[in-house]
Amino acid sequence: MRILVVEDDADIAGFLCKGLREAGHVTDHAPDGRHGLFLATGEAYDAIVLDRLMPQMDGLSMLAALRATGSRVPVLILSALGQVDERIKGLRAGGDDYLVKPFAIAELLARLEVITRRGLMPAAENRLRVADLELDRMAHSVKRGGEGIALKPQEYRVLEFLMRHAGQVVTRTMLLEGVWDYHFDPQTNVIDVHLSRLRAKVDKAPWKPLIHTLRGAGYCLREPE
Amino acid sequence: MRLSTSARLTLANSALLAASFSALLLLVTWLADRFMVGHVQESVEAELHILDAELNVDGLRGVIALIEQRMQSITLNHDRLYRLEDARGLPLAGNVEQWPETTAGPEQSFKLPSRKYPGKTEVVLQWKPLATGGRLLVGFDEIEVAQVRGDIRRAALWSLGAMLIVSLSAGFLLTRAALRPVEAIRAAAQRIMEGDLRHRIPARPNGDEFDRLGETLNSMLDRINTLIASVRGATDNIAHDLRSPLTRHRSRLEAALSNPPSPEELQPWVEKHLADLDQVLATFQSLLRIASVESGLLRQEFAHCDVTALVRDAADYIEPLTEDRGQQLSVSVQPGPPLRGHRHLLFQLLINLLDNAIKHAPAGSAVRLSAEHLADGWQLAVSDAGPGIPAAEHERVFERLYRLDVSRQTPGLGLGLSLVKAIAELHRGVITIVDQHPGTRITVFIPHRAAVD
Repeated sequence: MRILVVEDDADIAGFLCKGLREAGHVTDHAPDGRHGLFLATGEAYDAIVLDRLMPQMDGLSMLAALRATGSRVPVLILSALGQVDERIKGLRAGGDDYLVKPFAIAELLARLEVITRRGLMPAAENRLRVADLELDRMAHSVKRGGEGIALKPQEYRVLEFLMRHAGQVVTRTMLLEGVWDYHFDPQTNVIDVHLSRLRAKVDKAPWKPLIHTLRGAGYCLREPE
Repeated sequence: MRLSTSARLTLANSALLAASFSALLLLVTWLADRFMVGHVQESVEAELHILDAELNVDGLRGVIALIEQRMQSITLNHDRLYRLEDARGLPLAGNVEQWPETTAGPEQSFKLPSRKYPGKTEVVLQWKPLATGGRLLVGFDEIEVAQVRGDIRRAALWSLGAMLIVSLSAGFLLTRAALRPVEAIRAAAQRIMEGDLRHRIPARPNGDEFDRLGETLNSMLDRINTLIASVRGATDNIAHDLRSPLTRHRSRLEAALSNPPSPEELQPWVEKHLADLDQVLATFQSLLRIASVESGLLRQEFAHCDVTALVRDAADYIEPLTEDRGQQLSVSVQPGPPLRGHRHLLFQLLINLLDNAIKHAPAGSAVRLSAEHLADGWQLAVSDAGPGIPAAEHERVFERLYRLDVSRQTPGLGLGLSLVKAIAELHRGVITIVDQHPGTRITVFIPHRAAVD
């Protein structure tokens, strides 16, 4: 993918571009909002990584200006402000996702993937299917290889989230935001415990595992190779 | 240029006064005028009748004599007209050479310009046919009316001027006195802006609107001061709390410089340090969160929360953890009214209490979560069968980064209960720790009056 990084801090920008290139993307870098807007309106990007606080033109103003030109390129906002209302402000200004600094590059890659491939498994789809795993949203039922699996409501929601993002990396924070309707600090690794329980039901032998743990990043539900 | 409030009030007041005063003067002048003009007319009428009556007493001769007598007694400044003529129109007496041209009928008033005071006043006239044939004309001047009119006008102008001077100066002094508290408030604000944050608007004992305004502004300033102090306190705390882990980290890196890890060791070494740094970041995040809860500003986000749903969600979320440790989580919620509070933070409070209980309770024991509606609020409680908290440390466990000696080995930042305390205080709640031997029960009572302000 071709990605524009708009970030005034040269170190962070360098780290971002390097990480993105290592993941196989092509990057351009703009050191401020004005420059970023110039590039974003002139070139075709698959996604923009946008810093919230910058000199010249701050991230939200640039985003507003960009959206005003009719551009619908996915934008991931980076910010040092972690408050809930800041996040809402960012999304309302036209951002597709919001990531709080500091962050792991794996988290950024996972989120970029989600916002650029949004719509692969539409949220309105009633039946989600990955390999022989099937989730029926109408009946709230899950089957693997035709055999019914009994899941607790929470396990069901986690699985649904993973299946909607099948093939993509889903980080712990994304799970927290997507599955639990609370903004909170998860304390100990409860998410991992949830996942291991879900795995014990969905991926038990002799089935081939579908849910994979990616070290330092999160989880991914995908078809076995 | 914009006028000051005091000047504007004074001017408006004076203008209003002047307008009503002028209206009053116009009315008085008009009434006086009407009265005096009427009086002149009546005098003319009366004179005509007196002369006419003389005709019956002494005949024409008597009338002529009377007219001549009247003409001699005319004072210098009066202009009075008489003319008596016979049936052929020849003058018999009087000072009018020619009968004036008029369409007015007998005993009807009409006016002619005064010959004595041309342009200054007029003469009111009436005529009457006589029983002997011929006719009689009488006219009195209106010079007195004009004089009085002039007098009134002069007096009016003088008094208007005097009134304006008095009302302008009095108004200016009065409004300035009334607005002096505003100036005091402005001066106080100026001083505060210039950096004297402790300064307050001076209190006055009158208890009027300005005093109440001053009191309100003073309490607002106090509140802002508290907020500033809490922000400053939070910054100091964060700086202090992060210094030791960062120093530790630095010394490890320094040690690595003189004694670098071997290539095989490098991967786990870097991972360990990344984890350490993540811990520092997590601490930082938690401290910020506690500070933001402590600021009290999040009260704005209070809404009605369904306690049953809240408790069930928290239990559902944490339940895999208890199962993992072979503990039993029991939940009991009594039905009750919604709780006004911060939904996300109340959830966090429950999660933190549960997380704490689960971490410290032995495998196979029970962890209880309950929500009870009491008369004036909700009581949330979490109890465990862990080693308990020594009575002497009940207060200290809520301090930031404080950890009991026995729990040094369990993972955690030592911030969970501090956040619980901050959230409880945000809801004006009360936390109590009860020793159960074995174990601990932590209750958080959140009163309904948390909703007030």
